[in-house]
Amino acid sequence: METDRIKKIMDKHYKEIEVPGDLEAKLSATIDRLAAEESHGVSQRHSRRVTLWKVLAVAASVTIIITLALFLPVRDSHLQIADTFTNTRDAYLETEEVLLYVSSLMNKGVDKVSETQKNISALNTVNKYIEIQ
Amino acid sequence: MKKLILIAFTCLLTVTAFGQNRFYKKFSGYEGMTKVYISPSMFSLMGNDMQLELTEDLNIAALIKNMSGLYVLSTSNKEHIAEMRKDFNDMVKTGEFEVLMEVEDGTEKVIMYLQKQEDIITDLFICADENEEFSVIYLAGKMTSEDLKEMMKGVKN
Repeated sequence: METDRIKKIMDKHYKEIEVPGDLEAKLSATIDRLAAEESHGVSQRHSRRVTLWKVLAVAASVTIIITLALFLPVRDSHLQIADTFTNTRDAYLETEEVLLYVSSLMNKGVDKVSETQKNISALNTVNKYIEIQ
Repeated sequence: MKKLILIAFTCLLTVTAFGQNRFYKKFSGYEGMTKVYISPSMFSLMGNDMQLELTEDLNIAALIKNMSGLYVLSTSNKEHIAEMRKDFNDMVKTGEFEVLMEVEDGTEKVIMYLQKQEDIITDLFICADENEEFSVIYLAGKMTSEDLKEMMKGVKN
């Protein structure tokens, strides 16, 4: 009894609402469009992730290259220069000559220092003498 | 990815080749340049051959054992001197060099720079400007200040 009454009220209410004939078609089109947009978004996100990985790989490679270039022992490049001498005797003689020259230069420097020290001590003596006077 | 690794490796080799010895490599090709290079291999051979003690003036046997390279460049060409001086100063500015000694006597000027690892001298650069002749000497190896003092003892001006 109560159910019939409710049904009557609802029928009366819905008679006043007009449902468009192509509503079903429109709803299907909207659902399809949203589904297509969603799948497109996923593929775009995927390609963006791939690009990000590539950029990271290039950046890491460049960092490794720079690090290795800076910290690898560069003495390996000795191999590219040819030795001036082919026998140890000549090489030894030349090394000896160079080291004699270097030590003579060093001695010259040390002599200059001791000469300056002598001058300073002489100057100090003169200063002391003046102060006494 | 393989291409990328190949390119990276090529770049690495190129950068390494233009390392520490570029100064010698550059100027040793100049015309009229007196140049001497003794490699680490030659030094190791010399170190093994103890009969090479040729003079009593200088005891360098101990020093030679620990040396790994000797480079000498010398020229009297004014254009080359200007370029060498500029490059040498640039090199000194970029590296961690310590001035060991600077001697100026009339027209002669000598500056010595060194690089150290703790108490061991690993590189010794001598830049000598004497009588219109400009020389750069580079000694590489492991030297102590005692080695240098010992070397100086045997030589008198």
